[in-house]
Amino acid sequence: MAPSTDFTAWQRQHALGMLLFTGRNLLRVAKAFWPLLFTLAANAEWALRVGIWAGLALLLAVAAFSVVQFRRFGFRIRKGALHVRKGVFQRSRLVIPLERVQAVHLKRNPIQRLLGLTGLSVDTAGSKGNELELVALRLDFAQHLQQALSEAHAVDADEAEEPDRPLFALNIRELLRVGLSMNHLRSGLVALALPLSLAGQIDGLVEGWIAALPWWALPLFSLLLVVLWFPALLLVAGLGVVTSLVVAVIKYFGLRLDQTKSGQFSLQSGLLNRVAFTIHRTKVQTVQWTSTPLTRALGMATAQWSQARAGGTEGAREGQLRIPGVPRATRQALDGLMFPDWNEELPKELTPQPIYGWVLWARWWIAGALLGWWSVVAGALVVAFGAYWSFRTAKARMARCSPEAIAVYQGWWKQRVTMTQVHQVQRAAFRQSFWHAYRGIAHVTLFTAAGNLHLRFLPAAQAQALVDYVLFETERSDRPWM
Amino acid sequence: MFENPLIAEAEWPKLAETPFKPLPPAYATQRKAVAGLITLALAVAAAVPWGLAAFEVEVPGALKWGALVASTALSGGVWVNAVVGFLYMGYAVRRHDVTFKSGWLFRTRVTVPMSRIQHSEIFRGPLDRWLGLSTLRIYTAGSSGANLSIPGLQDETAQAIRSTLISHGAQH
Repeated sequence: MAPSTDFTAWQRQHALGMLLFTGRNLLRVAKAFWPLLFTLAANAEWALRVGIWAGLALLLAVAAFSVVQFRRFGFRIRKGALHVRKGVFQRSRLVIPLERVQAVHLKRNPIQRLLGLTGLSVDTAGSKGNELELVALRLDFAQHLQQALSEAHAVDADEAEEPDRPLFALNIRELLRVGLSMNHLRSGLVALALPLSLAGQIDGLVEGWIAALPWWALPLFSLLLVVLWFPALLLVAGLGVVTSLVVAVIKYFGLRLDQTKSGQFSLQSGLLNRVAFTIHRTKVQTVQWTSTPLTRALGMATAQWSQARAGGTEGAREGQLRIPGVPRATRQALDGLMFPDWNEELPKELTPQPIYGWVLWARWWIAGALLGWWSVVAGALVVAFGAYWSFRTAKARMARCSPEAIAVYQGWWKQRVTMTQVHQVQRAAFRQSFWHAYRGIAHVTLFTAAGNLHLRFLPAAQAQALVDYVLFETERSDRPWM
Repeated sequence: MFENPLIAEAEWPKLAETPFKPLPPAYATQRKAVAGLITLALAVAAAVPWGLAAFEVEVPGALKWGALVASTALSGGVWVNAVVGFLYMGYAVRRHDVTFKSGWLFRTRVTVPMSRIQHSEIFRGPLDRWLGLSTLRIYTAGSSGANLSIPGLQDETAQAIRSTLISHGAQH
């Protein structure tokens, strides 16, 4: 496609898209009718006679439908809005103002790579799924479209002068370190659960297989399991590490983060499915840094940039940009880009009152008392460990505030720092119970479009001042928050 | 060089010094009406074991007295909450934000800046309509459900607040 593609006229996807459409529709049909297919496969003789013709007819019908669907599907960019028309029987037209576009992703799965095509999808804050999903585009066409869709933000002349600059990339050694620092326990369980769930689906097959075994096989297996529990444990652990490494390579291979000319951030990664995610700085609502003892030992942390999400998708993974394995210096550089006035040396001014640790510990007493009913030693151990855990947790919790940004720190084992720009706060809540009011304590919750910041057990006067300050900053700011 | 904005005595407006408006007395009536309905339902529930006993069905005494005590305590709590909870409710509409406070055991004060409001709605239930009251619900980006909801406003007040919100939106 020529660079001078005129996006104001209706555009179709690449003709090979018909193939992808057909494949996708066939999969849908197969998914909808798989019990039927299954029964047919069981009565193979009858199915061969009738099924071939019916299947052929169905294939043709699906292919014809897909071609019409492909031809009906069009999109264009006109007057600062993206127009989409689609549908065969039920037709729809969609208009999305470009300034509402949250992020534009480019994706390539192995099939698309084979055909030399690229997929592109557009996120808006209004819906859970993608508003526009294109599957078959030539790479340069997709890149131009991505640029055209992002042009709404390219008004800033200073930003436009800046060249594309690389911010961060993972080489193969760092990639393996990311794999090593993942949660191996979870990976091991996933690795175990996968064959088990597969086995569950072909239950009958496994049962038949077991029935075919000689009578001495099962007791022998049980005996082996009892004798070999330690090697088995090692096997699970090893499986976990290997799975982590494989997952890391598949997900984060060739990961790189750049800042484009128009001030957008662009993240690319993936071995099989190559994903390119583009997002403008103002669309990032919260930045969260997570680290575990493992990642800290390797001097890394994981960043997660979240965009505004549609209602009720609390904890949803979509619309988040994850950057694993970020070293300390890069972390400071990224924070500097996101929050220009941020500084790690800021005082720890918003610390919880000491009572917070005691409140956390009180919960462990309940568990300890219940256990103590059964065994006093176990109860005492739980309460003692609870003391350690609670006071360390309480001590780790604090917040820092620069004039434009606020960061909440929590956790000592798994550490999390959640940051947002003050003017991106959507609403603020000041909470206290009657007992807190008496003790002069209050909680503050700052709600952003991508999640909440909880500041707990602050001195009431400070909590009050924080809410007043955040409201003042938010209300006088005329910068875009989205 | 760096100024600490939280500790410094600042010029930003202080929410605690804002006079909060109480909700109209009709809303107190509404809360009492709801409490009355709940008490009625609880009384019926408590009367069931006694009624069964009157028809010579074997009912353990613990159940009869337990139900009576529990429903009395519960309806007492509902009444205290209806009356005392009302006293702790209040709202404030400033030029740039809307605040609602509520709760007597657990107190919450939520503020939504007007420039962050996505949409608003006025809700009127059957009891509300009978007493001429409205609930104003305000929604912001990024979460489900109403993010600020002021119950028991006089219809005209709710309309007036809403038009303030809308006109604020129009300026920006």
